[in-house]
Amino acid sequence: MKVNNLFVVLRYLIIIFILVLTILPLAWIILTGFKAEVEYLHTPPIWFPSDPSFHNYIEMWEDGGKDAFINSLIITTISTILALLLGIPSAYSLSRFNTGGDNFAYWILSIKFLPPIAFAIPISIMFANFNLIDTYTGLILVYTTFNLPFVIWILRGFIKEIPTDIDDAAMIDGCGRFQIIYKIIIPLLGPGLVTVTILTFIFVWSEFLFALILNNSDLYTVPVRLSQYFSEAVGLRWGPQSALATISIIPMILMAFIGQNYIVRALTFGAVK
Amino acid sequence: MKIFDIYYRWILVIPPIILLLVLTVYPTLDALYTSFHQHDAMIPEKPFIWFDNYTNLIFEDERYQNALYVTLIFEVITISIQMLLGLFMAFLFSGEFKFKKIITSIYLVPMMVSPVVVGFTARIAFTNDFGFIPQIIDFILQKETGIAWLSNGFWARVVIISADTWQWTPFVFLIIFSGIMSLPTEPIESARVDGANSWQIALYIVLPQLRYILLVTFLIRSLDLLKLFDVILLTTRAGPGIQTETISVYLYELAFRFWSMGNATAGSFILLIIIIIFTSTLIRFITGYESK
Repeated sequence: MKVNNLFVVLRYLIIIFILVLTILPLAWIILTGFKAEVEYLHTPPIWFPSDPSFHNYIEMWEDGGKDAFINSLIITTISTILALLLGIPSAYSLSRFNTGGDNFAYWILSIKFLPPIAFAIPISIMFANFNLIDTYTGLILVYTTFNLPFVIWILRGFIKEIPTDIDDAAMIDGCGRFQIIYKIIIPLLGPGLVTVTILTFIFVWSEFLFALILNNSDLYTVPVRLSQYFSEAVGLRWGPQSALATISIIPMILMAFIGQNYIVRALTFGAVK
Repeated sequence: MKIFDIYYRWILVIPPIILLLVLTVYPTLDALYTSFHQHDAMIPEKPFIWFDNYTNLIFEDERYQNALYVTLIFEVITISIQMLLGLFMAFLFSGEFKFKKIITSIYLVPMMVSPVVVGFTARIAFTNDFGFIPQIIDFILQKETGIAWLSNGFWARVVIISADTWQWTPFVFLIIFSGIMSLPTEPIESARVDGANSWQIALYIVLPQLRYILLVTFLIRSLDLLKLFDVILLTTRAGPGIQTETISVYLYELAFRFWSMGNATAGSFILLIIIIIFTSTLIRFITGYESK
């Protein structure tokens, strides 16, 4: 039994080690956000700020952080809602009537897996022609479209598990298909729908490539603002940058905790349940 | 089925189809057209040049070849590390222990952090003199290593691979872990009764049953890695030189720094062809396993 005990201790040690590795980098940016400049540019590195304050947060917020946050919030919220509004009925159609057959479903799925740069280049030319660069409309269109495959594909799987008898019973009671979707299917999707909504929100919130390409300077999202610190000739502004990074990830992490029930299924596109 | 339903099912999918046609199919066709033309900034004439953009990239453009090579390196090394680590962690977690649920949840956090933040964090954590990682490594080794993390080609790649591994190993772990949890317990128990030890059970009973899940994970991760862009732009900016320039980064440079749209679109079609060949081969494997 001695070998077994050793194994248990070893396992705990490894688990703690990985846990530390997971948390340390995040702790580092959170702490950096509260340090003074002389502290985050200090050799050897200082872990804990001697006089923690919010001055980095204030500087970041006034120096474009606020605009970035508002832009990101508007674009992310509207795109997520639109993707769900358009995606849920389609998912219903695909799962109940197998609309377009398997090929149609796989075509939709394939879009999610192709590298966005391949689409971004021609879209940027197209948007320039239609004056959609630097607009909310442009980014919302892109984000809605490129998240539809995710929403449709995952919800299609979830709706398939709801027995069709329920639809039939509702129809006998005089419900139309729209009513079935909004009064019966959506409530029954429950936690699955919550996971899909949260993940869509996080995908849009974190998206960088399109946001970088489809704006010139006026309309920047949080990830673009974060990247701008490197191109500005103002030295290493790690304090404000860390502050922006921190407030941009904390809400996502909290949301992820709420939505973790179906996270494996959603992230593997239903390949693993 | 009612007559109404036949129309109705199409009405429901029309808005997404229109959006997807306008923003994916049309751009693809447009890009295909552009890729057969000479298309440079400042030159108004855009003559049709057949496959010149393609042959030029594959045979002459050393930066494109470099980008393919760098992407391949990141693919092979990163996936190997993540799959092995994920598998190891999943086995580690398959037994019961205290605080398992909360610890599992914490491991999921990196996935939810945007890649831009991951890149930025890697940059400030690895920067010499100010970052904590060189400090910790020097402390553990008890000597001044003096590794130039972000300005040496080899170590810059290590930084990017570490950042991606930090973010996505939890994903691999999570999938394999839930795969293990969903396996039937009878074969494992009967093997144990027959005197098999934990390693034998893991190797000969659990692992073969995970084939399908491992292949799916491998497919998703490798397609994701082809998109590697955000982390690189925030850590090394493809440097030093072009030693960490992936295909996505170079295509971005071609299109938006050099405004060489013909080359950029041709480059993305070469990438698409590689992806299609790779994916269809792998899916044949996966469906082969599924039907067995």
